[in-house]
Amino acid sequence: MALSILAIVAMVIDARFEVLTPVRNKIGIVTSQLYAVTNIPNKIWGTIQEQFSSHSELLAENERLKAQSLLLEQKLQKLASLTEQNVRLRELLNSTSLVDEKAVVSELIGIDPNPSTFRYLIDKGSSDGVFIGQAILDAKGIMGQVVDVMPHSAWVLLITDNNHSIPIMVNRNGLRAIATGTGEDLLEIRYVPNNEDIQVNDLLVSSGLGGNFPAGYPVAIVSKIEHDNGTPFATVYAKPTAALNRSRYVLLIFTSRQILDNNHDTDTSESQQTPVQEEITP
Amino acid sequence: MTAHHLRGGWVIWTSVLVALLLSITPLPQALNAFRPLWVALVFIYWSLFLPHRVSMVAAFIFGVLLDVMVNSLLGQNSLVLVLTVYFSLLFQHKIRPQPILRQTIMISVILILGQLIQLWINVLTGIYPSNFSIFDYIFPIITSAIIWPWLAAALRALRIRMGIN
Repeated sequence: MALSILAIVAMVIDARFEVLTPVRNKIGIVTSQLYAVTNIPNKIWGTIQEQFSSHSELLAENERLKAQSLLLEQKLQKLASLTEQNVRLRELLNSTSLVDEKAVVSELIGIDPNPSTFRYLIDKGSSDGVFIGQAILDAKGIMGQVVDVMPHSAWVLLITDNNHSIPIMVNRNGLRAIATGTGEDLLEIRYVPNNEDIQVNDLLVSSGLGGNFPAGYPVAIVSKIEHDNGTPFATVYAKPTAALNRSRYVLLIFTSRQILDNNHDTDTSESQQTPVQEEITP
Repeated sequence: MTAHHLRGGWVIWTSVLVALLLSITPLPQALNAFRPLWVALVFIYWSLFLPHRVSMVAAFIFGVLLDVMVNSLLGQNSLVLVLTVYFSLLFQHKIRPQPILRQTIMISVILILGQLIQLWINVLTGIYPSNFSIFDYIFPIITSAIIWPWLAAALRALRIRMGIN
């Protein structure tokens, strides 16, 4: 009976205040080890696949990757000159230059078993400089942001989670909006007026408003638009470009500004709790 | 006396630990909603058949671990597990001699109570998603009921083989 009361008291405190967060993090160090254990079958399967993939398969893969890297390098050459040009034009316009971002590779080690939330555990934590609110990418686009940091691991909330929103803009014309997770592999674009210029197959990129996500990374591609004359806003759905369910390696993005911000105020975590706040924060 | 009597304790806690691991093993998204309530089932088994070896304090501690693992409120799974163990201990003499089918039904009732508490807490604190479905709470009970006879048989074999009393 006393234990039940203790449990209820703990719940009330946990729901209303943040006193128990350090306790949770301490226990999290232990439980993230359990997640690592459940990941072992996955890893073994990976090594088995590596061992048994044939020589010719590896050669073919090598060939393909070389070709791909050549293509990417060619694109990169162009990008260098474009970046240079962009910086010069921005100087002409007297606006601040875009900050350069640093990326760190991390591996996915666990998935939240709760069917109604999309959270991943990654193998980098506060000892690697990971902070709450940090953006996570894969090769194709933005995946989510860090919501919980432990010394050697961190929880990532995916952009498709119900409680997640990300400020975006349409790449074609710069129309700004907010993309909210739906709990499926789909994003809903909120507050797009019926007469706005948005089309199926438009690329949506992060707008950088809100300060959590770096600007200009692809987020999703518009997949369906429904116009209903009875409501002021159109219903727009978009499919994330990142392979949310398949990516095994993810990139943690460090921008110099965010690291500074993080040192000065620690309540960046607030902004990811409520979707609306992201829109207001400068 | 105690040292002799209380052997094999590590088997019990290992089984609970395995249950914890099973409750976070990655599954395809479609199967996630059907995950049985492993920890509750294992605790029910031990509190029915070795009631003097299971304490509500242990249920509380493992509940807190589970809370951190699945990111529920601290105390949520503790409360559910403590009550589950409490009712299993209370009705052990009624449940134990029953044939397996009736045993399963009685255990399902305890599990339904636990899931109801989970549902209440989630609704009270507003931590439930917009695509909320009641089936997320019902399916685990069904799969748990299906798995119970096999789990009970396996743990029974383990208990007899290891000579835990």
